[in-house]
Amino acid sequence: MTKAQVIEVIKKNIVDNLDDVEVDGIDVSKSMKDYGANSLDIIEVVSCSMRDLDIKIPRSELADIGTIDALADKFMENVEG
Amino acid sequence: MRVGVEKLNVYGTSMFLDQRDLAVARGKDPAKVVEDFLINTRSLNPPWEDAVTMGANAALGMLSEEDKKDIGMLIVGTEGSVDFGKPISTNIHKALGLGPNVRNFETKFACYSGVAALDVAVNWVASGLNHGKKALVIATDFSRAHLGAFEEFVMGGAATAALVSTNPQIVEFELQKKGTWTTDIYDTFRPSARAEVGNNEVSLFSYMDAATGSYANYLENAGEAVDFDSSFKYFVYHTPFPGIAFQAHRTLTRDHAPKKKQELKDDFEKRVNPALRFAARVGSTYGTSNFTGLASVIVNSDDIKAGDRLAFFAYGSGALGEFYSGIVQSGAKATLAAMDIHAKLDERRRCTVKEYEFIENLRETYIENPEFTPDFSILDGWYKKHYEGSGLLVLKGVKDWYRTYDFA
Repeated sequence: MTKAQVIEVIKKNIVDNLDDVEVDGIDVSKSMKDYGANSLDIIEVVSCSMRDLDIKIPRSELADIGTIDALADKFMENVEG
Repeated sequence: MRVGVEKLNVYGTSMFLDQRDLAVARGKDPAKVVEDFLINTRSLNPPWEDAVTMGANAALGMLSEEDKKDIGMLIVGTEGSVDFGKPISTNIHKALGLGPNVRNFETKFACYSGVAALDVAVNWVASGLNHGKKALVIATDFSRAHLGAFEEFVMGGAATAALVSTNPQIVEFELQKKGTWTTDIYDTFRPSARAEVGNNEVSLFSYMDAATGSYANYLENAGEAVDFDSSFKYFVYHTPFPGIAFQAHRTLTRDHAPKKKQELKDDFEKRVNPALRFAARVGSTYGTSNFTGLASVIVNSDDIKAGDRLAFFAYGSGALGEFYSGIVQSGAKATLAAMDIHAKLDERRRCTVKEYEFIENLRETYIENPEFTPDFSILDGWYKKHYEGSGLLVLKGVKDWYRTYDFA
């Protein structure tokens, strides 16, 4: 799986869980908080993305990751194939 | 052997702050603050109350003289003890007038301390080594000052008292059905007598890891098929703030009984929200969470009946999660109705934001202070109006580090 595909999954879950956000409008160098996400929204996006990508990382290691791009990098370390 | 909670009480302090008032004072949207955290009011203590008085006052309102004679063990769970060595179970033991042969101690594990105490009590009663005696489990916690901080909206506190025996009237625990999950993490912690620090986001993430991990372990240990939708009538989730219960339920639902958004919301309203009503009135329930939630679901649900299974999830920062279950007993509604918890909460004094700030700043001056007498004259004579002659336990003063408690 490529990083672009991982980012696509994260973006889909951001759109599913946050109000008034379009896929094309998401800048991965930004934080989900920049799009109005609170802490519970971020947990949900992270959890749903992990399920979609079939990866398991302790969620606590993912707290405070600043940008969407950095989250994708962390996921890439754990994606198989 | 049947073991469970025979009696249960919640003490939600004697004063409160409305979250909407706090939101306005801090320049936030009041509706959004209430919606995000699901807290309407948070409890407040006057300076003559602390973890000792709250714990004792929860038990004093519940125990008969006969109950006191039947108690063989007292365990107090708290993350707000007033001493690093002497356990507050000793202060409470004296205040309740329990006998000299009652074993007592304090448990510590952040917000898991109350359920850690419950575990020990249940196991002791179930072991048969209790010589027919009952165990009293008290959980008592109160926030430290967070004036102006982001986390100021998820503060509060409460105390609960639960009598554990072989004659459960409220809930019987399913002793074999329990799942645990733990990890070594710094999420929220209290490294000094003043500080309550950490990273809220790490804590929320760790809470979800613990919910997932302990439920998986529960399924392994249950010894029979468990269906997330049909096995549990209600869920009692740990509530550092009630809003987190929605996320916990969403997390477990995603893995075990996927639902569309509206279905999830409906399920939350039906099976989770009844356990959150008291938390919505006291704010963070800390180590009392499962007890406050149990009382709430029994009092506030219309269709609860004997035989219903309740799911419990306890969490303590540090961190540990525990998922366990119990069966509602026929005496549950009547036993809790006698405690009149909503009415007691109604009697609390509403404080303005200015009064709240004044009290919290005053309390700060009492921390690690070897010599002080609480100012009993403040808040328009609230001590005289509410406490005097009430029989409630209060802190009379501290002299050369010795704390003196007495009845108001």
